[in-house]
Amino acid sequence: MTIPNAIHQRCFYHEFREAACRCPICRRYFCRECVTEHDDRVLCVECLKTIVAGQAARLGGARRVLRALLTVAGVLTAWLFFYTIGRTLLLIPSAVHDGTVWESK
Amino acid sequence: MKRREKNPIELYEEAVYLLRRAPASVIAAYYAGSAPFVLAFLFFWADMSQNSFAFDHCAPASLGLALLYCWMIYWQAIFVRQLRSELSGAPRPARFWSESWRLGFVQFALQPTKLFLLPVTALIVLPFAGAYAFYQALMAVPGHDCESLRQAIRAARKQSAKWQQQNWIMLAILAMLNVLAFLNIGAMILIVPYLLKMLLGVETVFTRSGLATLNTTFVVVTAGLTYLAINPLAKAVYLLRYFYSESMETGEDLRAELKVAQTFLAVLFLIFLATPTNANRIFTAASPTLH
Repeated sequence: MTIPNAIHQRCFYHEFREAACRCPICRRYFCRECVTEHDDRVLCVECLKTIVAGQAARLGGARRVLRALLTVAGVLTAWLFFYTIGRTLLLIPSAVHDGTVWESK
Repeated sequence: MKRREKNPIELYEEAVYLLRRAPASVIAAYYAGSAPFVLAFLFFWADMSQNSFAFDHCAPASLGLALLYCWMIYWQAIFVRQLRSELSGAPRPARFWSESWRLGFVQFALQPTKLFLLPVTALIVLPFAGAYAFYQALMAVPGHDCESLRQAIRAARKQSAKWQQQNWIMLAILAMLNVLAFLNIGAMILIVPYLLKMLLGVETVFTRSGLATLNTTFVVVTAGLTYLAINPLAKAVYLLRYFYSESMETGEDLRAELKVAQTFLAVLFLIFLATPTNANRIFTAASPTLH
């Protein structure tokens, strides 16, 4: 965007106001009130909303995947615990389980 | 005036009262989750200790048990949540089930770690009370703190780190209750075969040899029934501890008391209105033209 070009343009939302800059995404002209700075770029509100919504959706997707992974990790932890118990029980002689180990021979 | 922690015995009394006044659906939520797990665990134990071919299906059986464990902790969290609604007098939130899934996720991700961590902390002894309170507090974390795992951990850690003396006394009482319940249930299971023999003449393996009770299945059955009897009380008492600890900042306990006071005053007002002399006076004042 060049300043001389912007001077001859009007704001996209306010036709009586002179344009102060041009959004690098939608290429429309806007006055000072209709733009804001984001990541070292001056963007219009609509483009900023689209970017933020996209980021939130990406974050939401990542969060869902992370939650699913953590849930599976929890189930696997419980599985490991009960599997250890099962293997330990298998190692104990059946005389102990039956109680016959306490009977006098 | 600075508010201090409640007496642990008072907390137990309050927990018993809370459980007694809870609707049947709340208690049913607890047993819908815990009873299947305990039954499956007993079956798993008996199978692994008696079956010669148990080695072949140890892995799938333990996976099934792990899934039932997750089912149990989900329903226990729902139980604690419903008890909390009873406690604060707040109506059930509109997004109850969607929030319950978030709560369930926190439980699935964190509660299974206690299976390993609690025995380790019990061996070290000193961190055991804090760890036990932390896992109980995770169940009592309110819905708005379950947005993320980090938030839930922070909330549970904050509340479980408070009032350690109270926590240790509560644990001592809980241990004593568990021992008493274990002995009672064990004695009941032992007496039943002798009663059957005395009253009906039915001979069982237990009446033929008293040593037959010294098997591991008998101990596990007694422990399972003890867990089902005492664990709801443990959940309720740790919920109360969390609630009062959190209320130091939010004042939720005062709000709950105010709600009870409002209801009480409303009932008193209705009784006052219903008294014949007052009703007559009010009626006279409202319609002077009739006289």
